[in-house]
Amino acid sequence: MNTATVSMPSYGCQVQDFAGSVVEAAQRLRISPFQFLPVETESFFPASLAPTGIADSVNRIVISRSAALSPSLRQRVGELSDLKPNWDGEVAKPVKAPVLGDAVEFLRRLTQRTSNFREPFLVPTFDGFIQIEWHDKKRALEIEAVGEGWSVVGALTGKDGNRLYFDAECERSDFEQLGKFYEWFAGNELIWPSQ
Amino acid sequence: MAEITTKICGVTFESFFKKAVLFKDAHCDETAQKCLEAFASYGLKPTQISIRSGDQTFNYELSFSLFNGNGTFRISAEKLEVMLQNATSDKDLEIVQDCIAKIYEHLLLPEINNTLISANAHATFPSGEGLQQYLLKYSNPEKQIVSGGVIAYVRCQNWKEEIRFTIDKSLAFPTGLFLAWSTTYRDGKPSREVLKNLKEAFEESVAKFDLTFFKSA
Repeated sequence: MNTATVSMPSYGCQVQDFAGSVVEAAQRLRISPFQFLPVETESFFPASLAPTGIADSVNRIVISRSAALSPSLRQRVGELSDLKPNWDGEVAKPVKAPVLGDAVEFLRRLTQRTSNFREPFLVPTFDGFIQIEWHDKKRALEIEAVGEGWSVVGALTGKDGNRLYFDAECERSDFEQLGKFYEWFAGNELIWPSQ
Repeated sequence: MAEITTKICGVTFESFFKKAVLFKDAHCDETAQKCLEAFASYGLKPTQISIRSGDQTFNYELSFSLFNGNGTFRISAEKLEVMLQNATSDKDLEIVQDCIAKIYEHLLLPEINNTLISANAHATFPSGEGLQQYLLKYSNPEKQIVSGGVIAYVRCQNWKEEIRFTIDKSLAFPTGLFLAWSTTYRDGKPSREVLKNLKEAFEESVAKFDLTFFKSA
């Protein structure tokens, strides 16, 4: 709320009217018609109390949670979180923190539940999302973050060399379902696990 | 069109259930588990989720907070309340949107009657002159009206309900405006698509009053 007016019960003793003093303090900080201060120095918040960004704290959380991954994956996560706007020399966006967080969470869970975990390629997409890829001779799996969740494509190469493609979608934090796709890639599931 | 830069913003979603849910039917333990799964990537730890069982009838609450208290989530017998505040950049807003989407995607919520949505932002002009110039049209020196603002009910593309929109001088930022929106959503759980439409509707409402948000590269 921008302003607040409160009336507090006194319980028989003097109560300071904080509402008035807060508004007065804010009014003192308001700009007067004849005096302009540099924009960035004008703020109700002292520098030490200015709110720090949520994204910064999420980035720190993602990096610390990636400690459960292998050194090479950890390094890759760090590189992806550091991507700046236009990292492709054109119009690419930095990787979105929530997307990177979910990718790390999925890989963490996969390493915990799978004994034969194989490291994926982590690829940024131009629109700020991420693609997680596994490839081997017979099967390939690409899990791409999209606006509504994950878009999953599997490819199976038959004995005759023909490739069969499968696709599916799932919600962003549906790690259980994503794990099933990995099991399919690893050959532990024979049938494509569409929901 | 005057360009303004968001300095700080927040949003609250209150989803009211069609029927109050008894503690025994709320499956708070399963809900806590789902919350942990959904928000582990945001650093939520098991011990941060608390369930106040109250009188074990309707007086109970499951709650947790994220981002040093800037995000709070409460589920009671009557409603789900999500509040995220102190977002300071587009990146923060992406996280805010993701948090709201996740809670609706993951939780087994009872049928929702309606969701009250309110948001506010302090947004600054590049200079104090910009602010004064913008607010000039609402003042009237003859009547000693030194400043003014806007209270409007607007309709926007891709958003069914009316949006109550106010523009006022910011008390926190001397070269800024305080913008506030409130609206309702009546079609069940808000999806990621709905949240995207909502953000666009808020931007559209600002544009109706000759303002535009600065977009970083």
